Amino acid sequence: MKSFFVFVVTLLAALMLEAMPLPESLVWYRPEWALLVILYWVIALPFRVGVGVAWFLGLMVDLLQGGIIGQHSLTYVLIAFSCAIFYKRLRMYHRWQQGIFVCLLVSINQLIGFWVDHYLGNAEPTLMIFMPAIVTGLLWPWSFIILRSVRRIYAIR
Amino acid sequence: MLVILSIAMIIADVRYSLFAPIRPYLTWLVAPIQVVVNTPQKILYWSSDHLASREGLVKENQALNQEILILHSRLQKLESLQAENVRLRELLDASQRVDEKIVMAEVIGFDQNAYSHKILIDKGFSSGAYIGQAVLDATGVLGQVVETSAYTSRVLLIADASHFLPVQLSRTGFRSVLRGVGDLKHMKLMSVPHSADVKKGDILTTSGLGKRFPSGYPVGVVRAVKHVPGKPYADVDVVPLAQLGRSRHVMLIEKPKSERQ
Repeated sequence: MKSFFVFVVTLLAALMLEAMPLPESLVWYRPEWALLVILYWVIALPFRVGVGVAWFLGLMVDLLQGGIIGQHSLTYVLIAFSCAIFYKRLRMYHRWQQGIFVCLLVSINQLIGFWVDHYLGNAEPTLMIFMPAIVTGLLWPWSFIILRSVRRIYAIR
Repeated sequence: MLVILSIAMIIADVRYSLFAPIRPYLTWLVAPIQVVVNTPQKILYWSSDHLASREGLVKENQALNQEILILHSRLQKLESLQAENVRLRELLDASQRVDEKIVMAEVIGFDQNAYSHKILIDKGFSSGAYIGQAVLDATGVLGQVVETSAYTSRVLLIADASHFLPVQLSRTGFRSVLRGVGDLKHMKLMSVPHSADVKKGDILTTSGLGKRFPSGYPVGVVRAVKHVPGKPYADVDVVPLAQLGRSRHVMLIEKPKSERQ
């Protein structure tokens, strides 16, 4: 019950950061907060948080951003799945190496999201789509520390 | 499983609009998050409205009063011109343009999605907003309503990459389609032949073709015309006149029901 509560609070915080208004010039630099949090939980507790939670979170992001329903669900499920496969190896990595891996995963997320958008004629090709991946990768070590301390304080396993 | 479900949902949403009727209710799920996130901005707006100094208010009041006077004098001229216009149209046996009804709305949010450029306004179908309605701000055409719920609507900005707007050059009457490129600061004019008379500084207005936007409202200014050898059309860069990322108050143009699509 307590762990469920902590999951919900961290995911809600991520959704809030995701919906935070940003000035137009910074819109490409927004990290993928929701993905960041879900990736941490998948790596830390792969048997409790999995693709189902990722799917639901993606749905929430779609509703929040007013986008196509199912777009973020699709990419989040794919990313959470690939992360769940590699979680043992990822735990061995140094935090910065993990950051690079996260950057790669978010790039894939951006690319699939862009394909969907471009196929539907909503997006113009630009390399800026990889900017959130880089920012998310750079943020990973710190969010890892914060989320780990949250997990330890509440003793969730 | 979930991947297939997601893809099915994307297709259902885009191709068949299956989610359109339940979307307002689904959005209630995330509404609390939106409220919390938009609170700091609301506080900022509120404080700038309520904590203004007395001198500032007096000054603003004077400036506004002057502006009203100027606008009134212009309006008098406009009325006589309008009457003249109607007379001339009657002479030509052309159909008269009906006065459009205007509803004011306030911008309450921006879509935080880098691909799509939509804003949220505080008028929904309970105030008469409908899908396809044209939205303007004080300086030009802003976009069109694409989604309505009871008390809010989403407006697709003209700069969105999926938006195409039929326009006309006010100087020459040359008609074309203005395409958004997903950037709020510039747009592209489509299919302009190299021989067309388009110059820097030309003003574009809505042409009224396509029947969605009323004709004659200013849209943008031509910033640059490039002729790239080998390309079939000239590359015409347009700066939108409306303050796409900044406007706080917008106007919804209400068309009579018979003219809606």
